[in-house]
Amino acid sequence: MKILIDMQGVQTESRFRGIGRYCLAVTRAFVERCRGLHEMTLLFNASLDGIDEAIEATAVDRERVRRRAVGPVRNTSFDNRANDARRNAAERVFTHALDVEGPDVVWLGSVVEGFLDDAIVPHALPDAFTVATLYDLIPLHDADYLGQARFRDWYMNRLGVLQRSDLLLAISEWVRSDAIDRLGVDPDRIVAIGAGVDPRFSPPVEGIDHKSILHERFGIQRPFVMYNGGFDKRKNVLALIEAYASLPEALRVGHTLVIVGRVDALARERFTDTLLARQLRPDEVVFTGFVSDEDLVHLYQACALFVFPSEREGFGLAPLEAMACGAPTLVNNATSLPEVVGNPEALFDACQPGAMAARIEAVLTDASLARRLRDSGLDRASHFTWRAVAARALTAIESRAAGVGRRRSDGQLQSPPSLPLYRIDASNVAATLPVVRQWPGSVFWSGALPDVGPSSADERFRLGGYAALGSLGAPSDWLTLLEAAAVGVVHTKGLSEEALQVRLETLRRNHPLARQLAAEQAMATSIAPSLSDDDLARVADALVRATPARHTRWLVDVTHIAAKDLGTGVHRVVRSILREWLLHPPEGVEVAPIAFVEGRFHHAHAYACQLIGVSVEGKLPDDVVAITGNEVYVGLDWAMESLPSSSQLLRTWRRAGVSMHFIVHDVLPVTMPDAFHPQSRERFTGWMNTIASLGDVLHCVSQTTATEVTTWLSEHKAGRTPAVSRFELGAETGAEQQPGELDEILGMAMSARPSLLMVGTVEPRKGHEQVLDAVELLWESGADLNLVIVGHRGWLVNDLVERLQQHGEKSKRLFWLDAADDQTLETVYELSTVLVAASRGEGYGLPLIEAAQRGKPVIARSLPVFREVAGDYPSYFNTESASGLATHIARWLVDRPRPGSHPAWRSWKESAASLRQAMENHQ
Amino acid sequence: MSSVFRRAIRNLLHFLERYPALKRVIVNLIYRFPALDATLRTVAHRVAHPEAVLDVDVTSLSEASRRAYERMRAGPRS
Repeated sequence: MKILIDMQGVQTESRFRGIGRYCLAVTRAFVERCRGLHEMTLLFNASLDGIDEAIEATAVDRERVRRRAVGPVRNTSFDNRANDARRNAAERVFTHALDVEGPDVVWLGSVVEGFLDDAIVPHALPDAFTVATLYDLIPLHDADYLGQARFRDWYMNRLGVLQRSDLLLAISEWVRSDAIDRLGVDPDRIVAIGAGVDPRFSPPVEGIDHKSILHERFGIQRPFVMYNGGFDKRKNVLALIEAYASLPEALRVGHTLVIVGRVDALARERFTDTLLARQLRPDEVVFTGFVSDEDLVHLYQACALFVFPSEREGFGLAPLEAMACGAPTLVNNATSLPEVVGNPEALFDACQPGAMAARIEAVLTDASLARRLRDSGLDRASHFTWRAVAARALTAIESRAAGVGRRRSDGQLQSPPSLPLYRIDASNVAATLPVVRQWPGSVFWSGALPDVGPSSADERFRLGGYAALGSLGAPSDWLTLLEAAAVGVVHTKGLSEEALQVRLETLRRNHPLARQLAAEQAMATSIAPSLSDDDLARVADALVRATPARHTRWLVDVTHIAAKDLGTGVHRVVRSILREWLLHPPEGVEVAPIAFVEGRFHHAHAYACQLIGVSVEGKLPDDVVAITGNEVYVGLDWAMESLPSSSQLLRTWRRAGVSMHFIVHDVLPVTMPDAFHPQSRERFTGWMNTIASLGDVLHCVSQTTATEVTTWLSEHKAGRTPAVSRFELGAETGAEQQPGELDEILGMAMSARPSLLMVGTVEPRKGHEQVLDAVELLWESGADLNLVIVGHRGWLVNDLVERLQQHGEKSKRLFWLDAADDQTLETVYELSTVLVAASRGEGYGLPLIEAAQRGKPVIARSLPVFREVAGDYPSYFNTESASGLATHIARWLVDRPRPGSHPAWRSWKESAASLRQAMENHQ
Repeated sequence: MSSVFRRAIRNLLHFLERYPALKRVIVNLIYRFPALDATLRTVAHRVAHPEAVLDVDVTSLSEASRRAYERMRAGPRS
């Protein structure tokens, strides 16, 4: 079955309370239970928080569940009547999002949200078998809760959703009975699934000094009676304080009452009044405020007694947690609490004066009673596991949902949209297609196909992306375009009028676009006139994006290279891989270069066309990038300047289901900090932090870099860390590059004597100074050779640049080409004798491979990354001294050893395939 | 909304959080004036959700969203 779970219960303020914890725990256990059995999707509300945490918490063995996000359509909370139109629209969008993928089961995790926040419920019962969790009906027990008219309306609206649902999952037997009594729910439609306790709530283990921990954190020095929970009236905490105050003085002297939980100022005022009235000393009652789960476990484990006096509870998670930690536990004999503790000895009647105090006194003075309560509590708690809850939920769903199918779409949908019907043939297809796009309807196609296919750039692009721009279309492409734009295309040949009508009706009921149009039509008259332009724009956008795109799209961030190609090694990688992907996109994938401009990502059509060498007449469709959740973001370039601004938007994409892949070319600013400006180091660290928190996978260009990234993550990142993978870079063989013209002097010099070539940006780590020192020594000793440096001027090299510019051998035997194009570099490679790779740190070492591909030998520093990518091909040196390097070069020039063996090097086509494979492995 | 105004509103909301009894009195009073209540709640929502600036607006829609927007604005097609 396809099961869709609405996760809003873990997104609102409820996530800090019992409902959120319940919703998350049961979802996690359910996902685990359903793995391999059913197809699960989590649906979030993009207007709300808590998505990141829920994604990680529901991952099983690091494998994240498929997720989608609907919206955002904000300002929909029920408390504000100005939100009514927006909320109505959002509820219709939400219903569409629940229906559009045709799930078999929709599980509404918590419908009691959305009064003060932007959580929403479906406007009508979803098509799928609908399940809802029922936490309690406590507001129906106490008129005070429903005093405010707006709140009452909201609560009744939510009860309506519960009553219409096909199956209710109650969190206790008491809640189930209560729902049958008060709502008249059919007993067959409601099942008690109970609740569980997290394994971290466990009895104390030896070696933990609770005494000092609790003294240090909360100032607790004596054995204590504990309460944990909320502070609204029904929680009955004042009665507990009163009961504690009525204990014998001798007993109180040896104990403390510890009240755990965030107390608001109003409740605190009430408690202070009671403490004064009952003459309790300040040290007799400790209010801890909010405590972490870790501290809560310590408190449960160390308390002498846990008391829970609540008058009404849907379940009572706190006493269960206390019992699981081995605390003797007493609860009020009311609502669901007796079924949680399962022991008459653990009950008192809070309505009976003195009963609570008497029971507390009994436990504190009778060690054997305390032991019995502890033992029975531990035994009872062991039966409450989330795994068992998930199993009960799944059994209930499977037994009732199987065979139900999608009821309303199979003939019960009351009003399919009234859509235009287009009769199209070869003569009018080109003219009618734009109208179909604007006003979609069903198409009856008759006759033969046109003689030629669509030829405009716009249509070619829609058919096959950038790769299709340069090709001629086939006549059948017209049908492909119609299929994408219309609510189905029916070929009329051989079909009776009656058969055509049946096909038409089926399309209007089931086609995803028909469903979207039905929602649009419902809103057009009743809601749209009440919405501002921007609000309606958000509704339209949310509605369209609720339908996942047909194809996966890889959104490749080219913000920087599209603005300026720096000609660096990184940009060469970006260009080469992207070109391959654009010309030969992976099957079923649309590759779309995008650029971040003025706060949004736009399609980088101009750059993409220029990269693959096609010119386009007319406009290509779409400018702003819209996310449906079926996308992959690829940070192929560094994007170090734009990422600080774009990361906020990317975070919303990630929450909407976009998987995030970043390519790491090196981590040199971290491993070689002295070779970079402090500002660059800081920016790089910021970039690493961002991709570590955003990324699902970091793809490294070498194993060396992958190891360094893994080390960095383990040292700097707590919690979730992205996966780290490695892919192979490619290199040009040189065959595809035409040699260029060389400066006459340089050409003559390189023809006259051996030439050492250095390729790469002139920056401190590249080792230019050591090589220049070594060559100077060789010149002094009478050796006749050139040193040719090809590379832009980098940073922190003022002295070196001055030395190069003032050098006596400049333009004689020393040459620096700081703006050489690819053709010039090709000629320099051709005329050079050997490449010298003296860098002290690299992410990969592309020049080594490029030189080797052109048959040039290489002298390289002995770096692990060079050995990884070039094997035994180079002649390695391992010295920091100029004389040592000079000796190595001199010996090499005399011996001219044959290069050794090397790993198989890849073409850019293979490299692009390698990265594609790495990405697909992690989806 | 200007940042100064946003900060002032945020400070006011924080102040009221510290005095819940006062907050309740004010909320109950404002509740009697529905239009004022709605306006203030809308402003408070905007202050609490600065991330809303990332949402699309009518000038930044994709092609498909713009078409849906235009259809809904135009109403049913006769």
